[in-house]
Amino acid sequence: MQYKESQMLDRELKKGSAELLILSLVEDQPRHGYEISKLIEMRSGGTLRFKVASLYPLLYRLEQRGWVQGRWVEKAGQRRRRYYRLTPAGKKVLAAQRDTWREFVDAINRITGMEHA
Amino acid sequence: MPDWKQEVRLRLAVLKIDPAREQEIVEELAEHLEDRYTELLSAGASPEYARRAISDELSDGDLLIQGLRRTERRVATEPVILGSSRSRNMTTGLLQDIRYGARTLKKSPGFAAAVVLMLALGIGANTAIFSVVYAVLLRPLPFAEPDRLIFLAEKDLEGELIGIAYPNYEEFRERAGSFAEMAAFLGQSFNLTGLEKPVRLQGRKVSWNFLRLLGVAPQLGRDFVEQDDRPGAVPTALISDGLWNERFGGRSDVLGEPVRIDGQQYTIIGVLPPMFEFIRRGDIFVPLGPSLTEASGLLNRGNHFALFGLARLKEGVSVEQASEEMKTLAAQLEQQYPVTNKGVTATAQELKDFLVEDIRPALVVLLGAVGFVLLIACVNVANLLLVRATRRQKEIALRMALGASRGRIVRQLLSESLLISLLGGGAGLLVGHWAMQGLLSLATPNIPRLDQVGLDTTTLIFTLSVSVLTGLLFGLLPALQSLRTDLQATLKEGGRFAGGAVRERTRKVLLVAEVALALVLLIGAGLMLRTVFQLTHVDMGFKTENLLSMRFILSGDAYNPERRRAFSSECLAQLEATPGVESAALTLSLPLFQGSGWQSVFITGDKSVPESKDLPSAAFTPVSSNYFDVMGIRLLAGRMFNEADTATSTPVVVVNQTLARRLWPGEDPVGKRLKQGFAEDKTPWREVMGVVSDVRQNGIDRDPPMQVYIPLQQEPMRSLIVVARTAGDPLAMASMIEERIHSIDKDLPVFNVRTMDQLLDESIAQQQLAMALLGSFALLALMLAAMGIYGVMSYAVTQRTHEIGVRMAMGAQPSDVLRLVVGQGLTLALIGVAVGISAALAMTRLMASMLFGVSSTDPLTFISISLLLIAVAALACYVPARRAARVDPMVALRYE
Repeated sequence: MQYKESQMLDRELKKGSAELLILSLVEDQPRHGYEISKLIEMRSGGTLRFKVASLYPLLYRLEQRGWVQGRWVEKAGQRRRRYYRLTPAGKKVLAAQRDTWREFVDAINRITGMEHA
Repeated sequence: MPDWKQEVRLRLAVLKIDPAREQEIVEELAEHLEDRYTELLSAGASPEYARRAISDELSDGDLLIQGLRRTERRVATEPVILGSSRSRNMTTGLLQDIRYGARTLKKSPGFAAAVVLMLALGIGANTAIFSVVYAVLLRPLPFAEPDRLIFLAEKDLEGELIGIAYPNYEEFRERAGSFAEMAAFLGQSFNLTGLEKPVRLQGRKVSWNFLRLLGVAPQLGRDFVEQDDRPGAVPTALISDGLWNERFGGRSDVLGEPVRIDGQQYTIIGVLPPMFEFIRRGDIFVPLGPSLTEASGLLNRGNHFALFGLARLKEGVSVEQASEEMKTLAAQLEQQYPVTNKGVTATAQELKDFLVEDIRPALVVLLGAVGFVLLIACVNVANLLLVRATRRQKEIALRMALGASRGRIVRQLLSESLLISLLGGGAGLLVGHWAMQGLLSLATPNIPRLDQVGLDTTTLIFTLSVSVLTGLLFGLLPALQSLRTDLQATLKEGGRFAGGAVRERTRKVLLVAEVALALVLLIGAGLMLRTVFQLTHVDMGFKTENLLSMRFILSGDAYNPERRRAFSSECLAQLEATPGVESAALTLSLPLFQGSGWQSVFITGDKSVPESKDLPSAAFTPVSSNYFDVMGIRLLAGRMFNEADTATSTPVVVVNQTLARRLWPGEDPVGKRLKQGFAEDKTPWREVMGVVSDVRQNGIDRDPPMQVYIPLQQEPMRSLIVVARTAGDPLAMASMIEERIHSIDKDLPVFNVRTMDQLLDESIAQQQLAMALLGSFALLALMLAAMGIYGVMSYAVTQRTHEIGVRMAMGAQPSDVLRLVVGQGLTLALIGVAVGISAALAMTRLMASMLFGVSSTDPLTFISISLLLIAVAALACYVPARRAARVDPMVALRYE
């Protein structure tokens, strides 16, 4: 039962927040796909997980919109990887999405009375 | 470790995205999966479990593919290697091929221009000639159900078409079961007077149902009805749209208006629709019935005026059946009326066939000629493509090595050929348009329906189909040839020698064919040239310089024989008194113009009368007494006519040399007697007074007929031609002579004002046109053939530079090399000439009817044209041969 609920939450939240999550993660420094998926899983304590099948189409879509830019980087002693970084356009989108998200969460909290929780 | 890249690639295959992009995604995702795999293993999972888990994650249902489908555009890229396209869509494939072809052509603009130009000339000439052939021969006549319209005529003993005797026509109409309806029409010209200036107009007397049978109704007024078409009926007339507009200002109240036609009052009852034309232009149509009187001669079964039948076939009856029936009926009439109908048969043919039968052979020959030009152009283009294919051999071998199928390669090469031929066709339309303008300005007006020639849909479809066919024709051989490539050899040797022998043989065969085709055309043109030369150098039997002629017709009852005699004398007196006129005479018919004469059988006084069908026939020509002097016809025996030969003196004739020789060989004809018509006819016996030299009475290209001249005073004709020998330019005298005639009768229309030189030009115009056209086609063919020989030889020389270098290093002199190359080219040309001569022997027979004074297998033409072609071929070989002879052996040996 619990498993099913968490799966539902997972899908709904992902739908609304996936773009925001990815843009946030590449805000400070460029990261590659696997790193992004690991960070999401770790920082959400395992609640949110992006599998390869959904992560990459999303990354490519962001890239197409010009919000992130990927490029191949080969660091010494490492394999060639594709790193994504936030573009100036992406920065604006991220700021806007953060505001929207904050307002949304505040609204939910006020209604559900969870601000003191 | 599993091959993650392969895992990803398999899943992406359905997306068909750009290969480079696909590679990128494969790499990135494989990295990710590898990290994940390591992670799972280090967490303690078994490799088998980890592999399966990751495989599931990778697909996650259909999430990956659906997600990527949204972001990655599916590109219908040209495959990197032509021939490995996975596309099953025929159209995309074709477009792709054409795009590729366009790019290859762009890379060699010189080649493209040469090929398109050659094709444009070939296709253009075909377009022009086809548009004429279509308008004249193929397009249906503008009448209701035109293929059921039948032209009826009778034939004389010699099988020549003659008019139907009216009584015979009536029998045919009553008895023939093949036709739903039958009408008669009689060619006639009319004097229209009472307007500002009297005019002579062409028209017809027709039976009342004539227009109805054609399915034509007047645009204004009414058609004839049966009551109009009877002896004694009130005279009625229909006029053409042209006459209505020119002479009556297109007024709608013209109906009911009285007009004077041949001195008689007629009422206009209707106006024919615009563009209405039956066989030739006609401006006045009147019913035949009122003319059916004893005096007209129409009711005499022995008279064959220009009266013909028009009939509509019954449903289900063929033209052949109808013709058979007409023959049977004519045979019955022959039994029934042996005196008049002996040897007369009847014929039925489709109206259109009758219209075009004179011009058809010429058009068919011309169509064949332009077809040859196009074939030669095709051969040239095929040769150029073969050379190109040799250069592209490596490319093709590479494509095949990379897996392109043979079909795919052929398709690609053919698409390229089609592209070329369509470009050629487009340019050909332009060339055709110009050629047609030129042709129409040259053409004689007596070719039926020529005014309807134009670039219409049918012509466009023709040009398009010819272009496509041409493309297939010249493209197929090189395309198939390119498949015979030995892949390994080609790739190894850089394509220099591989497959060369076969291809070279093909080129040589094509060259031979080209020379043969050109020779056939040249011989055709040569024969036409000789024909025109012969026609312009025929001894006509009279002097043509400074001779003016014009016609008038003394119609109406007012001009009785007495008045006609008086008019002739007065007219001649007036003309002789005109300054600038050296002498003038009157005649019923001019030499050279068959049909204007009066052909009749006759009997002679000193021989037993043969059966009527074996009676001799001669051209009877009433002339004024000074006619022979004016024309320059020489007296050979006896005397010419003089003032003493009058209506009341002894009836006399002068005969021509041909008649004298044929009827009285070795005897003196002077004093013999002859009588025009049959033994029982009441014509007078006439005494032969003299013999004169022959003139070509029936046409330049016909031998002089037997001819009998009668004094005009003894046979006063209504239809007369003035011939005047002038001191200066005859045409400048025309209006003055016309004035003199009008001073005698102001209502007399004078027409057909022409100089004899004009008439001569007109009478050979058709042959001259044929010569000009065949000549230009032949010249084009010669040029193309020379280009072809030059192309093949110079290519052969470049291919053999190495060999020539070796020869020269071994001591061969430049002259040896020259001989070698020219000899090789000439051998091919000679084979071509041999083939061409045998083809020409078979083909020129088709043009026999167009020739005059030269046989269709004239040895002189055949030999001189062959020599000309060989000379041109030698020249075309000489240029590359000289280049070969100047080869520096050292350079040649280093060559490649």
